[in-house]
Amino acid sequence: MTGPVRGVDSAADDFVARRRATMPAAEADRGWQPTRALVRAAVVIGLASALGVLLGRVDLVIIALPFIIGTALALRSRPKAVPTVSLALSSDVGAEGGELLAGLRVTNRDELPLSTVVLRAGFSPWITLNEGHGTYAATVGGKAGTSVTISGRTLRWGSHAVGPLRADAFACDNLFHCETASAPGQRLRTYPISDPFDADEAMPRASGLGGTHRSRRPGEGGELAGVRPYQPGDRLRRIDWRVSLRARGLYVNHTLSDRDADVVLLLDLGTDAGESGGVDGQPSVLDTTVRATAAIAEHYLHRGDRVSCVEFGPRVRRLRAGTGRRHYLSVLEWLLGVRVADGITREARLLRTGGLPTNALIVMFTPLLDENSVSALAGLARSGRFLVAVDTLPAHVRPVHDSPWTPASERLWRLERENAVGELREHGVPVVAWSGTGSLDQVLRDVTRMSGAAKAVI
Amino acid sequence: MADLSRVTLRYRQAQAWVERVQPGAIAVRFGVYVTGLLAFTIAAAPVIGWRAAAFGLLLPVMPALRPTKAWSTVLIAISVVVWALAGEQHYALAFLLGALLYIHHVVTAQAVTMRTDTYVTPEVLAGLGRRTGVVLLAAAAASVLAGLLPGLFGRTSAIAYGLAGLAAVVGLCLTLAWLLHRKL
Repeated sequence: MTGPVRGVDSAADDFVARRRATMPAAEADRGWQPTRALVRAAVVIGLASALGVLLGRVDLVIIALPFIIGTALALRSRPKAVPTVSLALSSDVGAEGGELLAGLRVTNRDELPLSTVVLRAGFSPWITLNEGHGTYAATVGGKAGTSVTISGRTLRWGSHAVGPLRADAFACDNLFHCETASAPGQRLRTYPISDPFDADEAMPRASGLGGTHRSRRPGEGGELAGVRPYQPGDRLRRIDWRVSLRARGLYVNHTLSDRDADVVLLLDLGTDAGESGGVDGQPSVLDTTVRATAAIAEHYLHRGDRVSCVEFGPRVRRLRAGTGRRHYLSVLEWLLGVRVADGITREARLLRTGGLPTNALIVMFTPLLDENSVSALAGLARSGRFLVAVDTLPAHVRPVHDSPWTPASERLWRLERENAVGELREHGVPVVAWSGTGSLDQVLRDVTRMSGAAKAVI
Repeated sequence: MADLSRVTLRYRQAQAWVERVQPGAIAVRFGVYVTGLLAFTIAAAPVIGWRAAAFGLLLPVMPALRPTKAWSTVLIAISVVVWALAGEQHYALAFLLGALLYIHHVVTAQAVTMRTDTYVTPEVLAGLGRRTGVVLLAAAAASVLAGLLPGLFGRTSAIAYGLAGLAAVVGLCLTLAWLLHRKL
């Protein structure tokens, strides 16, 4: 079967690894070395002067004169100290699509100016620079420093590499060369931009003592449940005077308590599909998963719920449940470490490790490309969890390999996938495609209704 | 099929290279080519006539493409030898050739420092132009003096003139050796 290609989205890490592999160790102790240009100047001077003397030709000496004077002037003094380099980011945190400002600084500790300093900094492929591509040539005066300010834009969420920075210094009209020590690289943490998300529906089961969701229990809340006769202990401010006058007796407003709820965001990271186009392009499965997770986490955390995150992958990475704005930042940080990893994860492992509370609403982001994911969803539904599956497979994803059989096999594969989605719905797992605001309302309504229904225990 | 994919790969690589290339670095490479072309044409024109321009078009290609290799040294050496074979020429033309070869030399040295995707700040090119200008001005003054020397000594003192030149070359080599290996 031809399906969307499995892939590992770790281009940035690969880039950094390649960069580090090709980077030589610090070579600050090598000092200044003559370049090929010095050899060339010596050859030309020797050749032209020797021919001029041997043939008695002044014109040959005149040809050599610029080389003689230029080399002599350049060699008047030689640099001793090795310049130093440093790399600084204006901020190590940003959002995808945001601006990046980096300063590459080289400091010349010698009195002799440097004719050329070439600064080479590695940048993640997800960073576009406004000028250049990470290699910059500048001059530095004696006992001075030069800064090259680089501006750019981050195209995608993730922890992007900036650096390491390496500099090649040239002095004496580029007749001497020195490889300076490299400055260590830094990481630019780029948070995903949350797709706008809002859900008006109640949670299937609220469990905490405070929050904004109306529960099914009576209590001090804002949601009116009805009017009942006054009982000793009722607060006077709850008396409904209009009803009391009509009924000739004291009646009070009866409200439902407001509670918070547990939300577990389960990220299926077994498979990626589609090529990420960054913040301006088409999303991949991983992009959709991460951005949707950020959006839903922001929504529920804003409402006072407790949100935890779990990877459905070989690592089963978890983020503890928490609430509030600080926890939202923790979620964003946790999402930076999300990677697609091959390997089989059984739902039993998820349940065994206790990361999925029984009363929690579980939102699983999955492209439904793997039978393992489908069986995990079915297993979680069988265990009585309140479960919503968010389909993260973008509509634009097509098989990479093209052959005469590709369209037919793709159609077959899509039919099989629709069949799997239908079976999941029969098992009580609502599956909904991610589309931002209100995309979960319908399924949350279904889940809430089902949670209140009687269950047959066999 | 494999050939097609290889061609596609090459095309994409070329496309990526064109996207990354920077005007400053390309200007330096172009300078290497142009000075090499002009220098060789001036040096070889008295010997091989109009064919010098044809050779001149080809010879500086490698120095411009691979400045880190010894191609520039080869081009300069060939130009000097061809000029020597052509017999004594006018001093002004000799100075022009020397100036072009020197500019070729310094621009190649600059090209070695940078790849084609290097963003070159204007100060680098301005500094290169300033230093080269100073050297060429000094060389022009020295060339005038050198041109006057044969007239001062006369053709009859050829042996003395040769010995003086030999002493100057030896002295020059010793000076360069001292400049290179002195303790700092």
